[in-house]
Amino acid sequence: MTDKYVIVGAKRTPFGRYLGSLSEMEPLDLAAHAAKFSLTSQGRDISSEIDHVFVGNCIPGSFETGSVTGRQISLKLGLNKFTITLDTACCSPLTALRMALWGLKLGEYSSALVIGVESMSTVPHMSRELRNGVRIGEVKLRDQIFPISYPGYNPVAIDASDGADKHDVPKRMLDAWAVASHQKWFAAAEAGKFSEEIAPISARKGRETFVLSADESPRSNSTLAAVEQLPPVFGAKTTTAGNAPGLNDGASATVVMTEKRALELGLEPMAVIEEMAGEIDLPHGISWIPALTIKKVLSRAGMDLEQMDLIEINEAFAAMPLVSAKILANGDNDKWYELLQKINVNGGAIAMGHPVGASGLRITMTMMYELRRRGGGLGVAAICGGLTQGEAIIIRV
Amino acid sequence: MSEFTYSLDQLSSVATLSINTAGAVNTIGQRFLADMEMAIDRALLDRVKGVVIVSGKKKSFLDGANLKEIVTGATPAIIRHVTLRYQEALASLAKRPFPVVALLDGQTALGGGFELLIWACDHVFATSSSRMGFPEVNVGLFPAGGGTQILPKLIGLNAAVDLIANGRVNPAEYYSGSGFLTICTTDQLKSSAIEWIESHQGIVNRNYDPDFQESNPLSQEEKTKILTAAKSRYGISPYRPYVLAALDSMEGGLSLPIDAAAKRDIDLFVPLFSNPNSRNKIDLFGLVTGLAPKLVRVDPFHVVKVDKIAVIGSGLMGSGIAQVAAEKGINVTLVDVDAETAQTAVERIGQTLQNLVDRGKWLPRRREAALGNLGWTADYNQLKDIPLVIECVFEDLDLKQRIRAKVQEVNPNVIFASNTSTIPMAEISEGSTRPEMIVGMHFFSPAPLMPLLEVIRGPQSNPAVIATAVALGRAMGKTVILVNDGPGFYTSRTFGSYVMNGFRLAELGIPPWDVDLLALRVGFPQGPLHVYGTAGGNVIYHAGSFMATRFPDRMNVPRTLANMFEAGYVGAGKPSFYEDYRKMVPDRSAEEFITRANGIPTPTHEEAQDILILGMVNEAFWCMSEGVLRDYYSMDIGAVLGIGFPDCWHGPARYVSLKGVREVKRRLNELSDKFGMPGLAPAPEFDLLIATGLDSNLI
Repeated sequence: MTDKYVIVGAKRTPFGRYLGSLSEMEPLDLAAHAAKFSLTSQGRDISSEIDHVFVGNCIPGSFETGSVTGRQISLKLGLNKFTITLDTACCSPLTALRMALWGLKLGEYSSALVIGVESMSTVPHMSRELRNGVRIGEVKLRDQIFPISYPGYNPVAIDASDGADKHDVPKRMLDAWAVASHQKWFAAAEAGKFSEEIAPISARKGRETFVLSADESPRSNSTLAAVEQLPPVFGAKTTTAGNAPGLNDGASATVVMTEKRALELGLEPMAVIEEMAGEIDLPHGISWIPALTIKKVLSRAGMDLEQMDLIEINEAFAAMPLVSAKILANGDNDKWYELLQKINVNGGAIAMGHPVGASGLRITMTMMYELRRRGGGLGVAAICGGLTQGEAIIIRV
Repeated sequence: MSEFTYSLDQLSSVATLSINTAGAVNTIGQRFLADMEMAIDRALLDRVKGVVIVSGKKKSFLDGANLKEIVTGATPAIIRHVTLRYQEALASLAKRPFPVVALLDGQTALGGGFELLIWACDHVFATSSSRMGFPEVNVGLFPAGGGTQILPKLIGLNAAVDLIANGRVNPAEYYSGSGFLTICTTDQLKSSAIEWIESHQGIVNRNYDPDFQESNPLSQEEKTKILTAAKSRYGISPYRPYVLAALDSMEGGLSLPIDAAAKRDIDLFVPLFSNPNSRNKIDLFGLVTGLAPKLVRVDPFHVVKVDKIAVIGSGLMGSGIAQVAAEKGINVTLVDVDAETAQTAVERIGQTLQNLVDRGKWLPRRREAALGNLGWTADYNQLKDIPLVIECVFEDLDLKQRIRAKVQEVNPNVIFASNTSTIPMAEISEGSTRPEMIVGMHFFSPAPLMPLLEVIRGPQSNPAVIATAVALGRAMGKTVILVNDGPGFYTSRTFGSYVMNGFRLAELGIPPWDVDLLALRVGFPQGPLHVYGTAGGNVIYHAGSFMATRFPDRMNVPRTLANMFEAGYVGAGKPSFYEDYRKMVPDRSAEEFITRANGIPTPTHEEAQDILILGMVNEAFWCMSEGVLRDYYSMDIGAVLGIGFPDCWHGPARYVSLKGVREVKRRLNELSDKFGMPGLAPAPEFDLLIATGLDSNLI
């Protein structure tokens, strides 16, 4: 009998606003904080049981030295284990988790710590012109996150908007989804739902030290009418500041083990990872890649979409859940509407923020804790990444 | 900079307090209060002989509380504190030993500003174009700075109830008989004030003077009777808690001294800020004065200059539109089938404006200027060099098409704006070689009073034509919403559902007069069957029939409406549901026309109220689904400003936000099924919103 692979710890920092409460924190510390609390999720520290570390991160430039950032984090945690740092854009932490499973399946190790981290407030402006000296003329300082785009390709905001256009998703629906994301977050926060996944963090900004214990971006007073008035950005048809997440700071972490190891350690398997998959499409397909990846992971697992009790599709833009759900519903309007009700039930990145390298694990743990509150079930989470790669994961609680 | 500047004239020993707060108009905020307290203390310290209060702003003396400051972040405790602080400042100024005089030079003193005049000041000198009053109920509040207590003593209880419950603002003349105010010219203001101060040294403020003689004194019993009657008249809707609070305040203060009575008002005032209906009114005020005037964005380079227009059709609507345009300095030619008809209409406008002059609302020269802009003709050749024509003929497609063809033949470059309430631009444009020049400009009756203009984008309307229509509407002082084409557009279609549902409720067994009362309870200004008689049954019947042909699955003409129309029970001079519309005296003979619906239960009062308001809400959401409406702001602005949607609910979108999208859809389904009303079948927009998970926060 093959072993099962289980999650035995999952925590994250609250997600900070751009230039907000976490913006002056060292990103390595954000990652270490999420990891530390993930390792103590079940009441005792299991650091010494970790065999391998994987760290996903999207914009290494935000670290003082953007090389082996994972190893830097591990050492801060006192974890002298082999650490792989990888980048598949927003897919990074889920790719890291998928890689961790490879090692578990190969029997190379039986436990791993997986971290996703991003600090968008600390991304420096960059120039390639200075090293050689500047003889005459101004120096251009490029901003890597404004807009988020890749050389030779459209900004992702345009790709998202074009996807919505292609699949006939009206702008009002994108905007309504966005406002609902905030509303759902507040309903969930009021019910105390995020206390399971968030590890409050002591933060410094300027001269102030304070404890941040909730996501900073959600707005309770946003209205559909007001959001609809916002102008489109970067030449997109429908993407506005209202139907996109902000630029955020935060980290998330998960501990995975073989079920055998977990039980030997007396740890409760919080969720079983049923299957994972990565998928690609043409570089502009970011809005629908979650759908293709979900289809792939379902087929690998031999499951149907109908079996899923919950779905998370990361709100890189409101277009992602709406376009992807429409594809999953094969364009059937009623089925589409029905499917949407299962997606991001506690709000998504538009409300709580999208620290790009941390969101993949965040959607996974948000879904896992919700399934646990509901007494169990199956869920699939998917995220899109730059130049159209997708990651998806099916978990069972 | 101080918001209440103190300066002392050493020679006369009279101090001038000048109000100049941040913002376009003077408002009372925390900063103002602090500066006011300081200025009062300073005057006492300087042993002044008197104080003159003036404003540094041209049009505003002091226009009430700073709502923005209150709405953004003030807690009940802060509102309580600020209100009490203002009352104490007013009382403190009133009790100083020196006379206090205010000067208004064509400025407004509203709400708290008016209270400054009647509580703290011993006398007011104002030019005749100055205006003052208590508009608080229009923003879901009531005058809680002593206004409800003092005003009845100055102008009489009946007049005060009318002014406060209706939120009226009156010209200075209105108050000239009440003793606290003297009308004078701008030049006389300052000298009159100094003279008055010198001759009134040692005066005791009337609010603290035991010998003060009330104007029109009444016995306690009479006062209670007036207030009880007012409560049953104005308090019919529980969704207007601010009006009830105003009346409660007046009643409770009857036997109390001013300071104590005003303090008591704070307990009625503070809870209003957390009342949803008051919040709706405050938000609506912000929307109408803030975003609404610029909601429709037009490219100024697209706007064609319109310094003259022609209005075709000199009936009530045409004359009203001509009057508004002429008032705003636009040259208007009124066109009708013969010159005499058109000339008579112009003369009638002259008479209407003369009435305004006679009532002191207009200066004679304003009337002269307006009339100078008015001409008439029956000759279409005169339209050759006119850039824009507003067609206002009877609501008949064939007639409108003929007029349109005639105008476009004489002047192919003219912008042809049709003032139709139901007929789509697509149909009016049929057969035209220049459909791009055609646009809808739907005014509301009476045009001089109704603030809304619905501009209709025809399927082929040129952007410059739309921009020009919008700009003209704004030049005429209207708030413009822009909608897409469709039968009944947004407003008529939505309003129609209200009136038709009124008839349907009567057919379901609710006496028609009860239907109207239930509508008033929800917060409507006028019941649907009352509207039938005042708007004119002919118009309602024709519009209803037209809409039924365009939406056969969802709309029909209730049998009762047809019965009444056929029997000539159409109101407007003919019999209808009421013998007297103003006093709402029923005409029971209307009962015989009511065709009872068989086999369907009679709705409860709660169900009937929901049918009335949800019928409108649902139709508005259908307009959203079909693309007639483009945004929720236009939905709420249009509903309240154009078609009498209860302003205490802010509009259909806010109503749904407060009740919950899912709940509204559920209730619509329930009512539609139970009472066989296909018009109540929920709009697809509800499903779209539910799919996205949005249950509130539409607007």
